[in-house]
Amino acid sequence: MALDRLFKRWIGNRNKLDPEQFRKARPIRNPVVEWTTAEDGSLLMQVPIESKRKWLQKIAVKAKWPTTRQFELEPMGAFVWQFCDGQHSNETIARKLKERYKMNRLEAETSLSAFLQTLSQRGLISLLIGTKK
Amino acid sequence: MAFAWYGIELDLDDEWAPVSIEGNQKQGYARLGSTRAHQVQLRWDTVAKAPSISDSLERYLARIGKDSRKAAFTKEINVASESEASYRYSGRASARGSIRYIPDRNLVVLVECVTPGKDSLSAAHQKISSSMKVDCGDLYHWQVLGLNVYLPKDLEVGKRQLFAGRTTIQFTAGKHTLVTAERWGLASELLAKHDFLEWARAALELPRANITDEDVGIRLVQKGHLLTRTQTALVGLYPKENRIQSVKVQSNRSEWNPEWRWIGFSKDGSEIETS
Repeated sequence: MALDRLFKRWIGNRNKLDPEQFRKARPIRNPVVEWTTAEDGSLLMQVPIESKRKWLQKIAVKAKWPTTRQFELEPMGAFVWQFCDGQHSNETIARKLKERYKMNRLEAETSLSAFLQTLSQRGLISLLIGTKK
Repeated sequence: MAFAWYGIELDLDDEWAPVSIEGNQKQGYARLGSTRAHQVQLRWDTVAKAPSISDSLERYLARIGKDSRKAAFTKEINVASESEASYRYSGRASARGSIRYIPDRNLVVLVECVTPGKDSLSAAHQKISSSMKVDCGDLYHWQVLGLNVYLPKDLEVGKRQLFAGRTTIQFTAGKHTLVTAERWGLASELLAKHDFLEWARAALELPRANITDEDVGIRLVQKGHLLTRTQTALVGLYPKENRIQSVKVQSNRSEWNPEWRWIGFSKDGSEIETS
């Protein structure tokens, strides 16, 4: 049980942001992501698949496995994506989202938080925390 | 974002959002939080006869003082009239509030701004408290997270789902009537992919409903049978606010027929101006 608590303390406290930190954090795109915008405003993204194991890379080349993963963002997601440049804070993006889609503050912040979490889990963005240089 | 519950309305900035809502028409409590850790508390209580406002306030503050335990507790009460008083206290938290008796509804309403620190609450409390309105007519105003409806006064809140993008409150009037008020955000995005009529039929779960377009919005009526209730819904589109709002009534009683003014439209079809 003690080990379990220690593990939870070690793992559980990582990457936790308080709401204020989250508001000030600035999302930045993963530089390896390439994207094209469709006519309807949606976004098609491609991320190269890289395996750290060389033998797996060789198998992938021989078996002609796909070398990229694709993601599609709807126009609203694409709107957020354009501000993931490391310059705009989540607070600013939420405000822009609120104005563009006429959402209330809570709605904009909750949707943005869930969306950024998904992008982050897929390795498409990172959050910059701290003062802007 | 204005907040209205059981016809008690506060005009608040967009930074405020509901944190906790409890109680019923007779007695209840709502707490709203802001991004700056300030809170607004709204309490209402029905009384049999006009109370002594200063006695009510003394009892309330005594309870707060007891809860503040070791923290030094100070209070100040200013009685403005027989039906209105303001107060401030400082203990574990600092607060400024006001209490008002509404004779038309036999209701005592308390509005309080609280901060865990020592920030000045005077301006915030003055603004919020002076914005308070209490409905005393046949319809009560309900406004929360973008949902903005006026419903008959005899309703009690049942289930509620306050999600981002979709707000739903179910009301009951006795055992036989169920009223559901709903608000969807991102209307233009929803309707870019679906026809409004078909969307309404699916979203309100009325697959066999007859739909009539009434200029202001659409009316859906699904007749009940022996064991099911008749379901009538009004759905309005609000392009300026990019939202869709509906009121659905499930009842076999003819007096429970939804009206356009319930979802914020006047009889001539224009939107009723609200904050």
